[in-house]
Amino acid sequence: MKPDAVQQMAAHAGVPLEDDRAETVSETWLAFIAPDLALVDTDDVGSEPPAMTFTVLPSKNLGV
Amino acid sequence: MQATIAGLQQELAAGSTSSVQVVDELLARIDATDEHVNAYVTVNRDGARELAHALDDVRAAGASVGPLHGIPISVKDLFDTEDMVTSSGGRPSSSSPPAADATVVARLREAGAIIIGKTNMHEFAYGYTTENPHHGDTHNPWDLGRIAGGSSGGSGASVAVGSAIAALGSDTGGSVRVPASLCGIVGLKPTYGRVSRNGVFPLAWNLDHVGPMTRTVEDAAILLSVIAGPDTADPTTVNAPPVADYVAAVGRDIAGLRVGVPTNHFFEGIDPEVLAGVESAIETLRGLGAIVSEVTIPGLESTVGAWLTILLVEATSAHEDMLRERPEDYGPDVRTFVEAGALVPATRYLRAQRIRRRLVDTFAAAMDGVDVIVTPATAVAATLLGEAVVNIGELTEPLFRTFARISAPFDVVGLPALSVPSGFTAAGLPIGFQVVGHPFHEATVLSVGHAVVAAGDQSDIEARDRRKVAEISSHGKDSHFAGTPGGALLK
Repeated sequence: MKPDAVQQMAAHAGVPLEDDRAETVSETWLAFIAPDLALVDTDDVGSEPPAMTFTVLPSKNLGV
Repeated sequence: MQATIAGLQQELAAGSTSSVQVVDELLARIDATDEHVNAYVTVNRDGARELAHALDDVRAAGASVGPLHGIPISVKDLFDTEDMVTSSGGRPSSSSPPAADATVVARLREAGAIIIGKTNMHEFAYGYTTENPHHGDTHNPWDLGRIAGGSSGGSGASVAVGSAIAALGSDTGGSVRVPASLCGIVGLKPTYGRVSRNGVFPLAWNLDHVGPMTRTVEDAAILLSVIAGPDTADPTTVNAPPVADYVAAVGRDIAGLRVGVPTNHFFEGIDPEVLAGVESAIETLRGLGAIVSEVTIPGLESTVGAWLTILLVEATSAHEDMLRERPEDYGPDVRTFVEAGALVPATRYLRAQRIRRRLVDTFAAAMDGVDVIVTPATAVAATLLGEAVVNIGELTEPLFRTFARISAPFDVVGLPALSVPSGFTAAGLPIGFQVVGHPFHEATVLSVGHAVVAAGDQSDIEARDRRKVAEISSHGKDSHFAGTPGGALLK
């Protein structure tokens, strides 16, 4: 991801980045992050639903 | 050997030592070693001594608070403690301690433990090296020029050098097991939902686990028995199945137990010396009567990517306010990753969670015919401080990936995973062996890990331990340790 794209996406997420920060994030993204994330994008997950592990406990308030 | 929880339980009960004596010797060990190892961020000297006196008085009156009565325990500096500031490895934003203990800290205290200090860590638990820009780097006691691992590096190093009896760590991608492996100690990541994370600074809610880091498997079982169980303050914790008798599982005969050795992924890109140590441990299990077979775990190619996606997004969410309000307070590596997390779209995050769901099923199917699977705990022994890239044969990769590809899959699927020592490299660096069980089968994992350790050459390990501590202590300005070799901490 190039620095200008980094800046654009970060701003969209509410995290404005100065030029030097966008440059650093871009370099890290390309070297360390992008190769593994590309494998996520190409994984055929089929119709699998997401794994959200949050468990809802029974309410202590049983009402009247 | 160095002091253990189980050993101190007996000695304290027999009256051959006191809590005050144990605390004083531990403080002396910290003084003798921490200048070089830098395992601690905070040491609660006065509070620990005061509580030790009180607990000795209780014992003298014939009462016992619990299984950890009068035993000092250290905790990573992301566990809230009402008597010590929590920095989470970052630049401290407050000089006041948190209002309440983390649930696991409260459970340690209820069991009689003395929280003697807070250990150093990678900034906000976001890294594997414990090179920390605010509190200094933690050094591996086996070679001070090398990393202790991370992110619970201070916990690992302190237990290894005997400046902690035992410690708690947290594990989001291997942060208990990696430092345990690199420091030659025992580290357990329990099943997701077995131990509360309430009052523990989050890195990634869907991946965070809390676990013990100890000198022995028996001690890990004792600590797990104290901290495990449901907590209404952490809705991810579960009540069923019930907490097992972990201590009883240690020493159990493993003859007939089915051990799976993955033929793919976990044995690829492993340093040859580490591989030799792991294969030796597998032979040990076979010799003890375990039934060893090969298993294949398909579809692991995107595991690190799924883990990294979840980690990036959730860590950035956890850090949203700090990132906007005081980004200059981050160290350079963590700031960059926290900023990078803002670039991951929600659709990719959900795709990672969908892959995760499939991986849970994949591991369940692959482990259907075995009780545990075993792997290296780390692909390499401790690397040099400052290294960001690892070379293993013809493989060159980022250091975080070297550790993540072996340990992080079990954070993704939530299975219990234990790292135990399994020999040394020719350079004298510890090798770690990983045992992974079915959900909530920590007892089985502990019994297998104990069998591996118990079969090792204890006299060699103890001799190496003595040399290591003596070498580090002899470099200290005020080597109290040198004057107390016969104390409770090193025998």
